[in-house]
Amino acid sequence: MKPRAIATYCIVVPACIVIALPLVWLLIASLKSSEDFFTSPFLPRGDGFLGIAWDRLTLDNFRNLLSKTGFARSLLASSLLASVTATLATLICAAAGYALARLHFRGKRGVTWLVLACLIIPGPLLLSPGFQVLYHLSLLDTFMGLILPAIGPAFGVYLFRQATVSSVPPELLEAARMDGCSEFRIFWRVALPLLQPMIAAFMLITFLSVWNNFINPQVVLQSAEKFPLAVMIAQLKDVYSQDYGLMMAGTMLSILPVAGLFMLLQRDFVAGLTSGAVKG
Amino acid sequence: MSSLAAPATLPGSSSPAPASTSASADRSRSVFPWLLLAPFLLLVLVFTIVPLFGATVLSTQQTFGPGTSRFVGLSNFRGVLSDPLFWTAFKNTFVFTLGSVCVQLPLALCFAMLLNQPGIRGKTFFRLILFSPVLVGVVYVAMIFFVLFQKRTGLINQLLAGILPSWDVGFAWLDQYIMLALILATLWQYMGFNMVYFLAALQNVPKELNEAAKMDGANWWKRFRHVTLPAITPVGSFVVLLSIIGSFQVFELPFLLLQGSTGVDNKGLTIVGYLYQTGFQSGDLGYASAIGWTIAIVLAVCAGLQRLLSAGSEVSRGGKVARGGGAK
Amino acid sequence: MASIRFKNIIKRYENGALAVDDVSFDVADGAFCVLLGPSGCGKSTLLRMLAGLEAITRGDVFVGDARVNDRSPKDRDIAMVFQNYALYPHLSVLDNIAFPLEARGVGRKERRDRAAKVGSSVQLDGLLERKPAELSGGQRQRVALARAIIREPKAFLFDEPLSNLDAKMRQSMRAELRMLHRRLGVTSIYVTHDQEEAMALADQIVVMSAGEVRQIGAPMDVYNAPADRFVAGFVGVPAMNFLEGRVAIDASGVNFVCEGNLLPLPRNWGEALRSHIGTPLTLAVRPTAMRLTQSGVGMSLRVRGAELLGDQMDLHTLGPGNTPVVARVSSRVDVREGDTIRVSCDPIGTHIFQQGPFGLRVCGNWSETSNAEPSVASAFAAT
Repeated sequence: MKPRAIATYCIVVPACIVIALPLVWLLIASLKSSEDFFTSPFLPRGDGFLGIAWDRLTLDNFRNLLSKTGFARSLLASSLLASVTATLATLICAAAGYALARLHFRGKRGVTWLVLACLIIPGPLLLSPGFQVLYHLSLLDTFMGLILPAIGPAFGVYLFRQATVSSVPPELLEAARMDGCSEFRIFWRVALPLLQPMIAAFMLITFLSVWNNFINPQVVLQSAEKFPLAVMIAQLKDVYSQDYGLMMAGTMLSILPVAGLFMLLQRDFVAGLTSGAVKG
Repeated sequence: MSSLAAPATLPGSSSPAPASTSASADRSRSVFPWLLLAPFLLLVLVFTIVPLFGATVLSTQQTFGPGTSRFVGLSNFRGVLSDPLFWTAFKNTFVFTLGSVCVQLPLALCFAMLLNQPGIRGKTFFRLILFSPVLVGVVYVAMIFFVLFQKRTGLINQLLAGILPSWDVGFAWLDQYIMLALILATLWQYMGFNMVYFLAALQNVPKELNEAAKMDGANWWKRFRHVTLPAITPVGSFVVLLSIIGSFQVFELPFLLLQGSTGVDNKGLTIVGYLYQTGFQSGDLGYASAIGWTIAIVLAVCAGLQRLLSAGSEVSRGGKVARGGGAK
Repeated sequence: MASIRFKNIIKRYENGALAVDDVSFDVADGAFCVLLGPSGCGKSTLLRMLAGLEAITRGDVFVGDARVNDRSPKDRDIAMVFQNYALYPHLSVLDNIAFPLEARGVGRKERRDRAAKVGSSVQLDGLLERKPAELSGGQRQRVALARAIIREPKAFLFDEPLSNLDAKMRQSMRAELRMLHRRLGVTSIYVTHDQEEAMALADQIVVMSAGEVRQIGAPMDVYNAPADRFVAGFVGVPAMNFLEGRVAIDASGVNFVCEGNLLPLPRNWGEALRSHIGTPLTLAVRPTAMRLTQSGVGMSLRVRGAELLGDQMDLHTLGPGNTPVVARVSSRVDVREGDTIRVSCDPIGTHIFQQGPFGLRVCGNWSETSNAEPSVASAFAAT
């Protein structure tokens, strides 16, 4: 037992270090001045504690980021896009998934097939014609043009359908029906509370995927003042091509808030992600 | 339970006086599901079905931007299939897919099994660390690795040169070896994510069966082969499929790492990258749609193969799919 | 409160399966009616059609004088207790009990007061703020009961409400249910496959199988005068013994002849049996009606094993034609495996049926005049 545990640690710990290294490096890089950026791979050497020049670490990159670039505006845009999309997508998918799992109506089989069919359509196929649809609806260069296509994912309907099947017992709905609830009230007051774990997981997944999405805003948006973080950060490279510290500070600030939050909530997140797979 | 609240008109009861004629309550119950489905259906119609139809129409047209187009029949498809750039992109994408699936998934399974052992402390912590890169968006991954992969100044070359004295610090990750760089960066980002799937799958391994096999004297490999692998095959084959589908659509990472270019000798050109280039940089959405259809067809074939293989592995109880993705 | 009437109810599922086949019966106002039958016999479907959870293919359901076929569940004024309790896991006990009132728009203060009162009437004091997951099975069942009671409905429906409880809890809940019914006097319909439960609770038992009603009657009628062979086999533990044979009537008396064994039957059965002479019949004997005899009468049984129950024991034996026969005898009797014993049959607890799984009763001691047709009339006539 014991040697086996040690052997395991000998593999897992270095792996964790390798995985964590780029993120640690990123944090340090964002704190370095441009002079130190290339001269020392990690912390700048000097005569401080542990032989490191602590005093040469600086917050200048962050200051520059906030003053010279549209970071704050993009942060706002990303937050807005991600939270609105996550909320609407969750509501729409929960409603549709619940209906497919527990209600009985003509045409249910057809809709279920539609959901499954949508699941296997690869995104790139719809990229060009989707762009055309947005063009015809005059939704190019608007937030709506990003939000609307993202709030009805078949994948979410499928997840909520599975979640409803496994965590909303039909007897409970029948009991509510006999207790005098309207159908809407049954959905709102009985089914939704029971779906709460999946709601949390799905909101997180959607929020994160919108936050990190690059290609859609890149294609849909044209005015720089609307760019969410992903596009804005990618463009830093073109504008401040030599200022690596600034770019790393921007990257750091874009990852940190969400990644931190999601690490705290990772239990829900993981549960939501894997629930789709285990049934798939 | 299946016929709960079946509306009044059962197929079998069309004969005289079907007892429950629709009261208003019944009607509201048959309308309500459609109310719940309406937003989703509307969105699917506008943003999936119409574009899908559009993709079919577009692929037969030559366009100049989203507004103007002319019908060209199947010549887009002929063009795609005889387009040397397309085949370069296809080859690159294929290499990337093969590389990332064959490196990433076995590693992910290994780490899942390591962390699934009893008596390992700090599992949650390790899992969190290994999983964390998936929270980093692809743009940020590209930003980080763009700097890390730099020729002389990049941390990766410096570290490698520190470990291996013969290592050339001028190793051109982002030029000659862009696919290797992509595979490594993707490995970093998604290994822990796939590990989590495998960890979930490993919960399906029947404990008693493993113990019985141990008592029967089966060695580690036999137990893995006959107990663990069959139990994780359903999820495993799903993960393999997901990875293939995901890898095949790789685009953003090379696009960002190469700053919008396709790299030296188009070594960084992927299929979706080529689609993006023709559709959104050259403005020929029709040609792009034809490329889109070829991607869809390749992926449909993969999904079909996965179904066939996993059906086969269920019969032979050998877990062919997981091995197909894993033993390379 | 109200009486309940099922009139020519038919349920055919969309796949064509016939779940309920032309069922009619009445439940008197304030009665406790138990629908008894094996799983899949249609009893739950019948209950769910009454509740409005399942569409009725044909026929009418009345609550009181009103035909309720077309009413949605909430407008039928009926409360139901489900097998798995169907408590809302995210609501406290109090909110669970108050939920029907909430759904009907009763104000928060009033519904909480009423819920607390009903909760305490089923011994839930001190548990009202808990979530269902923190309760034992019996407590959950009480919450489900309270949620039904608070509506003051015209009728209670119970769908195997005790089957998720352990044996001990089941017994005490059974007694509680019985007392509750006495106290509230609300018409109740109770579905179960447990014949003991049916005996203990019912004013009226409706035995069903394969979508049809086999017998309707008071518990003692169903037990002592089973209408057909199915009912005889289903009701009573241990189950009745069945022996195939014929009836012979001669100067010595009325006898059941089974593989050469002569089993004497009461002389007054002769009249009922006369028309069946020569046709194959089934003799049914409760294990408790087996009497050990010394003399040459009765049938001989080869003992294969004994199951000790305390004062009594069940002898598992092979009878004529190697038919398995169980006899319950005093445990003081000295019998071993391999012994052969002779038994006669106590006329009370012995019946003759026509052949076949649903063979009708020809005669028995409880009510010789019964025409054994399963109907309300006959069941009540027998009382």
